[in-house]
Amino acid sequence: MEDRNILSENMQYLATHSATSEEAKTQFLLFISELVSQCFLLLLPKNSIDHYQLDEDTYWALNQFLIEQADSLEDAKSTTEIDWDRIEESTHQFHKRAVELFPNCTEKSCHATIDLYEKYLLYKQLYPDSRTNLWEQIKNYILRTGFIFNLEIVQPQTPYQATLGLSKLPNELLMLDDVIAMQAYTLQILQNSDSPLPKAKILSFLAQKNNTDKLYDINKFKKYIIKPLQQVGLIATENFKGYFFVRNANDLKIAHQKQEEELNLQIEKAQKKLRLLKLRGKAMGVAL
Amino acid sequence: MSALSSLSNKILKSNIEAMPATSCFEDTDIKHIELGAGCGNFGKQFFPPCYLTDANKALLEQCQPCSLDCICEAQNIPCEKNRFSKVLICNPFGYGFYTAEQTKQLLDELVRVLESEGKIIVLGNQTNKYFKPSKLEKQIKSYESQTQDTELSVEVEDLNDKIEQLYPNYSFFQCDGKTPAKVTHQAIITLRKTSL
Ligand SMILES: C[S@@+](CC[C@H](N)C(=O)[O-])C[C@H]1O[C@@H](n2cnc3c(N)ncnc32)[C@H](O)[C@@H]1O
Repeated sequence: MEDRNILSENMQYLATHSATSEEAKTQFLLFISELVSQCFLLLLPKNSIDHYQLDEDTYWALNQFLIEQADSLEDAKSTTEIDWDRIEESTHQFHKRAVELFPNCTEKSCHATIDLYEKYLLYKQLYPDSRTNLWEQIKNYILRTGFIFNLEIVQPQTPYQATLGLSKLPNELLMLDDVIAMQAYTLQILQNSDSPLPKAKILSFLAQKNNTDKLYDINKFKKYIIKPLQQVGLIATENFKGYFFVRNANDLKIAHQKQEEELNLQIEKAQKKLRLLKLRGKAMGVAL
Repeated sequence: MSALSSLSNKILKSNIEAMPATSCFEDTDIKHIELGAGCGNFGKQFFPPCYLTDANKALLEQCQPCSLDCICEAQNIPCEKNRFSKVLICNPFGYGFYTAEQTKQLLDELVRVLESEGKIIVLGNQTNKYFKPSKLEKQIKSYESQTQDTELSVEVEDLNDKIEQLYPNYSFFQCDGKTPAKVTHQAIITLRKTSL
């Protein structure tokens, strides 16, 4: 579908769907956590990731890095020449529509959102059929709910936090966890350990690194730190022995097996749901 | 609509009272200048002798080692006109060829500091909106049509993995100074001043 059509179609949703700012924060954190784990996958082992933490320069750098590494992510070579006129026209329309709907969507408050949308379009031009366009989900969320994300790091606070501005009237500010540093620290402790480490150990290491006694929320830890790193095969777990850094072919096989098991579980669940629907269809005289 | 305009604003503000600008380019034998050089030394390595500059004063402390000769903005280079024969720009971010207005600001200054037949060499990724290699010629021609006394010709090359042959063993970086940047295109803009 043409970018322009996607835009006009999805724009109908803007501001109509009600979502809470907590949900929006979750979406944005999920986006960053996947962005970071994919970047770390490509950066390691050549580059040191010790000093990575969420600041504006790093956030922009990682976004740009990942788009520049699209060929590695897709394991293919795009021959597309970017059509900047098309990208600019689409982002311009996006901006115009957003300003109509949210008068407080100024150049300053909207630029991060527009940039996300632009990255989505760029990736789509490079790989139109890709199912792994990282920016797609966050773009859909923005279009569906009308949330406009703006990353503002006025002052680096504790290493845990940055501020997420959500420009849905009225303008809201939410504290954002520093998932960049936490993924980096998690990799660091696992890389330095010869044996698998339990969650509790990693969590207390994170707290220590962040100069706090308070442990990071376990559910968030699983969602934003462990899962994204597992998904890209940087860490793995086996038989509840804890997590370990994937160092060799054997480790990777374990990680792969685990993902396969999870996939099979999902397939089974979906198949069960389909069976139930078929049963319901049968009762209604419809063959599904 | 400038995605990184806040970045350039930040840089602008942080640069007041930067290095004493007048003493920046004293050696008149040095006719090359790199802009937005960051912590790199591309110009000194591949186009010596060359002055390295960047707008971000904080780099003087952050880069280890720091090879910068001058803290200045690409749009405001503290030197007399016709001072240089080559201007180098690698991975521009926060300045460059994003909007027509930015392009004009930058080119006005580069036309001023370059001598006739001088060249601007730009390196970057095709997804970099401050470069936009596929649109650069159009942008330059549009700028040219608004100016008098200057002709500009542009050659854009898709380096297609030739970067290692052209500039071997060199690492480019994003604006955070630690994340690698990938160069895919090179543009060479040659300018000719018709009335000197
Ligand atoms: C992506 S980095 C590139 C660094 C280096 N050239 C490389 O390729 O590795 C962009 C650099 O441009 C600098 N910069 C941003 N705005 C600038 C401006 N208006 N004038 C000069 N430099 C600027 C930043 O401080 C940063 O060091």
